[in-house]
Amino acid sequence: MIIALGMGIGETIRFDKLRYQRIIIMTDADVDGEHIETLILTFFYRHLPDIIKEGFLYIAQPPLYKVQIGKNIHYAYSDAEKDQIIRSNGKSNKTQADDLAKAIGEEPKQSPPEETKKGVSIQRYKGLGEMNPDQLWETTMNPANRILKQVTVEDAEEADATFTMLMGDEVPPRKHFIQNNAKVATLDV
Amino acid sequence: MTSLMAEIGKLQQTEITGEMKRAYLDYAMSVIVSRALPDVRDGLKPVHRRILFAMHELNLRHTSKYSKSAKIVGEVMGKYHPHGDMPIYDALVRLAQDFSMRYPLIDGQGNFGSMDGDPPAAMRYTEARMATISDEMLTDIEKETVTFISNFDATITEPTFLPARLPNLLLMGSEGIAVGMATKIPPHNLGEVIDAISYMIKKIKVLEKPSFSVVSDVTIDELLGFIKGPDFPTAGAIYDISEIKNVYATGKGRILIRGKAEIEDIGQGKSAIIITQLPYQVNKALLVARIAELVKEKKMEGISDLRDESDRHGIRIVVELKRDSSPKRVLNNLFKYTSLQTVFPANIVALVDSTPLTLNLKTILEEYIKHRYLIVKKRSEFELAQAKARLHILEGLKIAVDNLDAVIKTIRQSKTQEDAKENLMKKFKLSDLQATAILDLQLRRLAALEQQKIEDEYLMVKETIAYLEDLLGNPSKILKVIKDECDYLKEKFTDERRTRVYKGKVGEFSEEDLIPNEPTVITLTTTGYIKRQSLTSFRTQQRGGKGVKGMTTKEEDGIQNIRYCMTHDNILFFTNKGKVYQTKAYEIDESSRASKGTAAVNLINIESDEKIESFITYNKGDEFKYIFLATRNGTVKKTDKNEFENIRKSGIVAIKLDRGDELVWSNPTTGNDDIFVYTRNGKCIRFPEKLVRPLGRATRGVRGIKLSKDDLVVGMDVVRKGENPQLLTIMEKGYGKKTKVLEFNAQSRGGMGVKIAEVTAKTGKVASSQVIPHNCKEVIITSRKGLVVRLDINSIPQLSRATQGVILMRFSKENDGVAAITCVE
Repeated sequence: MIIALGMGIGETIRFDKLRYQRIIIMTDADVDGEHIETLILTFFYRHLPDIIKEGFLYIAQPPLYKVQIGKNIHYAYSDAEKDQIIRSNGKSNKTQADDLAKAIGEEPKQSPPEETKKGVSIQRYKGLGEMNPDQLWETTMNPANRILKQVTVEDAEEADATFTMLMGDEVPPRKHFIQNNAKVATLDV
Repeated sequence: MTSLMAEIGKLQQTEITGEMKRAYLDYAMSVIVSRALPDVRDGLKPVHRRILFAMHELNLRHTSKYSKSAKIVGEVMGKYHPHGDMPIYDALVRLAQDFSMRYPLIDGQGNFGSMDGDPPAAMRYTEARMATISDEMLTDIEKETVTFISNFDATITEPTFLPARLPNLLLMGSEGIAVGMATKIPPHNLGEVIDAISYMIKKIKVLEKPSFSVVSDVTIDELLGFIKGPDFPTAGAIYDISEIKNVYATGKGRILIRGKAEIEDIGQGKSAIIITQLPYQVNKALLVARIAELVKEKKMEGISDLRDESDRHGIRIVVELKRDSSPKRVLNNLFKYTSLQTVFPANIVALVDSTPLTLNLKTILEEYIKHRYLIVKKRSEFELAQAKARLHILEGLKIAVDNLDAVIKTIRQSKTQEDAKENLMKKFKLSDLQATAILDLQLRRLAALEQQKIEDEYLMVKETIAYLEDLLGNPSKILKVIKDECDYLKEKFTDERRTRVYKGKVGEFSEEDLIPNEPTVITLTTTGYIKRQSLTSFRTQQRGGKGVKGMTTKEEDGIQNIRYCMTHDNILFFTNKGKVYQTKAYEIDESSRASKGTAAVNLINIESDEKIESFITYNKGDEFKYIFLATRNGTVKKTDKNEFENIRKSGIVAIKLDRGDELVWSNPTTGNDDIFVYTRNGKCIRFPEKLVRPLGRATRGVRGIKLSKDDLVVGMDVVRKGENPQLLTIMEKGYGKKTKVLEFNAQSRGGMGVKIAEVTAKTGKVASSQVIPHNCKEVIITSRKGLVVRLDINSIPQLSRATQGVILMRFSKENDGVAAITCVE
């Protein structure tokens, strides 16, 4: 990565040699992908902070779900969006919803009937490898459709403290943080 | 630049702190809740649960055929576990390894790896099915006992936990590293855990309100009465009860584990350390490599050869020792510098309601009982609903049977099926289901006997309903069911504990807590084997019997010394070189009558050319002041017993010896006793011990008896003041007698003494002579070939000094003769 960026690292760093002005982190859309994302962010923050300061660092947003209704394919980037797609597209096929729910083993309690319409197939993308190249282009890479997140630093001090807490050597503060915020996490089984 | 920016597409800003926290938290919580930590209810991590559930769905029970591991892994990965195939296979393999799992949940066919760290065969080669015990994890899963959720792509469902009749968290143990926390739980013995649960159930209170919970006032100490400590599949030994208790009280602690190693004599004056058990999770190949490395780097001395002789029957690492090395010291170094001794850093963390908690033993067991309570309740509710549904149908059928002709008539008069159903419903006040059931009746069910069956079933279902309703309304009855099911588990699966538990720390011997203080017999052979037997292994015979096999000795070995003591007594071993070593009686392994005992080198750090000649047993209550020693050449010495208080493991000097002399006898004295010294040629001298002044440990003694040429001392005894016991004298060819002590007058020390027996060719020389203790009832005579006879002391005649005695023991083998005698209560 250092070679690709061209600006060196550590003592030999030369920012003017940087070859790219958009560096996009694209990781799997599961929790392991998020973990890798934190590691890469830490690398940039600790070793190549200028890239972040200049606003050259971006995070790509691969879709979480492919929702196929009949022949129409929709991509959802969050659970809410997925539900929304199903709700707005699936009304015509409301018959036998319960049978289907049974057939695919959904427990009625956990999944409201809207989610399981006839002809709706949902694929959860856990890895980028699950997508065909053209699908990846369509959803994540094509500037016409994609959403990029530009990484910014608002409060350098707070950012520094966060990195030290999450990636530092001391476990207790990390444990404390996890316990305090356990409820807001999005779980992936 | 602007043209480029135009292409960037939709852009959002994200603050790095928030982005980091969000991503990190998602990852951390997912790993904690659904990857690395086991659930307290079934003790399984998601991957294990999914493997078992997938095998359950594939119907791979212990009675079915093995299935390729690859098929199971594929099933798990495709249906439930969207992760790599290798982690799934690794998890499956661990469940099948008998050295990883105290009770393997999977029955594997093929190479599943070894303790040497060899990898298992690839999953396309190995096969697997569930072990018998795994049934107990899944029983009742179809009875709506556990919550099911959608799998990752919402196509099927999977259980969030298993009904787990087994207290699996404790049985299987667990190990996992999550984020910011980790877990490490040792495996346990099923019988012990069940006993603890059964005890707890008796004391438990079930609270339904405000929220369901179970509470008990059982203490950790009470539970420790049942669960002695972890029980590893690889056996070994664990130490230090206070640390073990700590683990169970707080969920954290460091348990010291040692492998099992014994020192064996391998002939030619050499010995070897034989390792037969390793601490849990120690890689044998690495251990052997480590020992070799230490020897090569000269960090460990005294090892001449190292071999791994392990085979399919078990572990056997042979560490051959150099002639001049001290086996005990080498063994201690092995413990110190290699993984023959390891620490198990227990950290009992598990998920309780999806929250990671550090758990103590009591909470784990309470959670188990709570879990089982809910499972039994839900199962009963399910069965009740089913029974009620069946009852409803049966009620309908009964009505049909009771009004058979009318029913048939109604059906015949109806035009269509639907018609018939409606008519039935109207006419007989039946429900839709009942009417359908009646219409589905086969004609043969109308036979008289079949009608009776309906009646019988009706009564049976009613009974079931009554039972279930009673059960559901009565928490104590549910607890009883849990206990009964636990008892069933114990009966079916319990086995012996493998790991030995020592209450003391390593080096501190306080096994006394564990071992009852009871009479025992300690035997020492001429080649230095020491053996401890319970008194019951000898039986009383008539005088002149040939004896029973008392001890299997090695060739040309014989009995040197026998003493009767209590298991908690201290033993001081005196060697021919004049040194003294200390041990406790119970440290000598108790063995059966015909075993040869333990080599002395296993007990104490003696040198290879050193030999134990005698030993003293004593306990704190004994009132004696001095230790009185006698040598082969007639030198005697007495030393204050306090000088023997701090005896190093490597022994200390008890007497300085002249060249060619050997220290052979030792006895405790009070300071006012009389000393008796006997010789082979039948002489005996009696003198007051006051004539011998106390000397320090590392000194020579003084002359005790003047020996004629060819004569040697064969015994030394102490007679307390005012006591007038009898002397028991046994000759080499089995002749013996009792003589009154009064027949011997006190002389000055260093004299020749007087005759104690008439030594002739018929009797042989004096083999042994000793004072008969006042509480002695029986005497055990041991022959050089290891035969033992136990006689009533009263059957031996009392004769005067200069007599031959009567025959007490006959010898069938040539060259056999009396070796030693001992008196017992």
